[in-house]
Amino acid sequence: MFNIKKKIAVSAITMGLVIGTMGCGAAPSTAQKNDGDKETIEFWTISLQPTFNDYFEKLIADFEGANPNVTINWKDYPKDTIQDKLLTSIASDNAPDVVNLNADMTLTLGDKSALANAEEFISDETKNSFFDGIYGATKVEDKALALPWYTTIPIIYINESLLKDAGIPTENYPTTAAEYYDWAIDVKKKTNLYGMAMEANIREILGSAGVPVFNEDYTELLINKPEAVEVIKEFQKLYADSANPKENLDQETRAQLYNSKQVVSVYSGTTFVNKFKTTAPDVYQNTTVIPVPFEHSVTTTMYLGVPDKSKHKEMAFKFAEFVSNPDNQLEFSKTANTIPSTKKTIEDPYFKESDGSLESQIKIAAASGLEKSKEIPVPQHILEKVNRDLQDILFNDKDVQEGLDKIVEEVNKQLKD
Amino acid sequence: MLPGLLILAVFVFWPLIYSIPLAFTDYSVVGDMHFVGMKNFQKAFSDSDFIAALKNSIQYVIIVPIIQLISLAFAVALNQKMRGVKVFRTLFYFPVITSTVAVSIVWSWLLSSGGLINKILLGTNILSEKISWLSNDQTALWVLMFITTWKGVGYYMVIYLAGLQSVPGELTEAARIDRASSIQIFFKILIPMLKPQVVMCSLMSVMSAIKVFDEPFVLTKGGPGNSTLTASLYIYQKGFQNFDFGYAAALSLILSVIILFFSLFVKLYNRKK
Repeated sequence: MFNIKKKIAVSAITMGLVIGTMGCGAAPSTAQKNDGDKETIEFWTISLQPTFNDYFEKLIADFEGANPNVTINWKDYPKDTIQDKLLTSIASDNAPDVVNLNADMTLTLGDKSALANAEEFISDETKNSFFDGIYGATKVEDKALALPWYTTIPIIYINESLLKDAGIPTENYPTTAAEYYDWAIDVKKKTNLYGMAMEANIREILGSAGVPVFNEDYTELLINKPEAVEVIKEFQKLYADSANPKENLDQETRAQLYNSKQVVSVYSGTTFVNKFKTTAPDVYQNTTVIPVPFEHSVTTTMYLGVPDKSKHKEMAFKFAEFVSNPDNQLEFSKTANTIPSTKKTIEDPYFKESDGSLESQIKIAAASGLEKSKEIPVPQHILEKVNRDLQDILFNDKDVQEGLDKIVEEVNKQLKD
Repeated sequence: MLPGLLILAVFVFWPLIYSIPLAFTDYSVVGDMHFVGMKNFQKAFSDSDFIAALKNSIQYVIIVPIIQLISLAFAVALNQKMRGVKVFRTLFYFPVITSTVAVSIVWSWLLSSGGLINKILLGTNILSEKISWLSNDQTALWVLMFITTWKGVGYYMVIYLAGLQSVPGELTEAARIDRASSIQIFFKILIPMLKPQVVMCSLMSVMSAIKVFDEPFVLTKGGPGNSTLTASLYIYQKGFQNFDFGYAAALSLILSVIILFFSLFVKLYNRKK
């Protein structure tokens, strides 16, 4: 009897401590305190420290200089953890004021009404300064969920020495999708190497081809239309002919295949060069780049969102506008080899000048793709499913129309839920 | 003891208990929370992706007897007095302490269409053309099972080895004097003496198999199609990618009941034997 009482007492104390500890966890926001009239804006970025500390320290100092009552508290998180961190901070009413998001996260958070509408705070001038395909991509029901920031444009990297060895001309590269697919099959036949490396995912395959992926308000998936079926059949042929590897082609795998000369051309972003410049210098020396020969250059854009729970929305948007304005984007492009999302920036001679290096070629090829750039955000909860099912159709030679109809039916059911 | 209990209470028991009421809500962290009754459970049983994921997780249980037999065989082999036995024990245990992510990346290179495994199989004429092991819906899940087995064998081997070393030497010596063969000694003495280890390893192995996460997460993301989608991976995707924590909690409860069922089955089966 005594033992039972003792156990109950220990349990009660433990639970009391647990509840007490939880109470301690719910501390008020520290980042958003108002010290008199002084505002503190908490700014989160993804994996930019410490490489770009100098750029951001100057950027923040410039903004604080122009707005003496504002302090910017800059924090940087790895890509893999920022989403969880953001969720917990929003849940505990401790949301940052400006947060760096990719398009998928933006759309997912927007769907949960967790982001403020940028159009209520920013000027028309700012709105019109961005490329339409990038700004409009995260606009849902007239609500702009975030401001575009820096972006990456895909280009095609080609190892010319592999072509020369097989007697394939290294000029007049493909300029249309159909030419590129035929070229890749031809390269495979003549070199016995993969002609191209594009991942079996909705953006690279269907988005690049200009196939409509969603309706305007992202409530309906549209990838079972005849034009999508045609593109998928084209890729089934590329896989069947081993012109494109049947792999999950993340950046590391692409780099591994390209560095080891198993693939002649790779579809990737402007920073892909860093994956082989030092590890495979001979590949670097023999590489040339061309703009993507597709309908769209599907960008991977970083956005700046303001959580709806921010207590300083006005100032937060003012800071987001400042960070993403054409001048600051130009400076960041020069610092980080990124591509800007603002029209004015790309007119700068920097994007047309070449010193003959591969990096210059990359910059020029990418900049030329901006006119046809398009960001294709896919809500995260359906992205994995759609890509998995697309891979199944492509890798395992399933019936295309039947497979796409099934994906559309299941995903649209999820979107309605 | 109290600090340890406190940590367990905060980080294990509280989330565990809290997931039960959560399963009856539409909690999404960022939005308001509403009570939805049994809706999440009804949705789960009509969710074809979850059913496919559950089937894959249950199919993963196939590796349990395989992994146990291999572990036991290695334990018996490495329980002999021979030169360099400690080196072998360390080598077999090495995959256990290696990060699953690192292991998975290395295996993905080995198994890629231009990888070493294809090269060996093509070079020895076992295959006539390359196989994309992880992209083929017929092979992908089996390959993941193989990697799990390869990584897990050393762990169970050490437990069996400890069990074998605690078997009194007099028992086997007496059996040998009575002219019992090695096979008889193994089945009549060692196996019965190892029963606690067999039960524990089988239980742990069943639980690990049903809730396998790392290998499909790193190597296939559940694809192609749903061929390697496991219940834990699907629950993770629902919770942390869709923010649908209420639904994810309901799926977790269903998975817990299934794990409980399999665990009881293993326990009762061993008790009967």
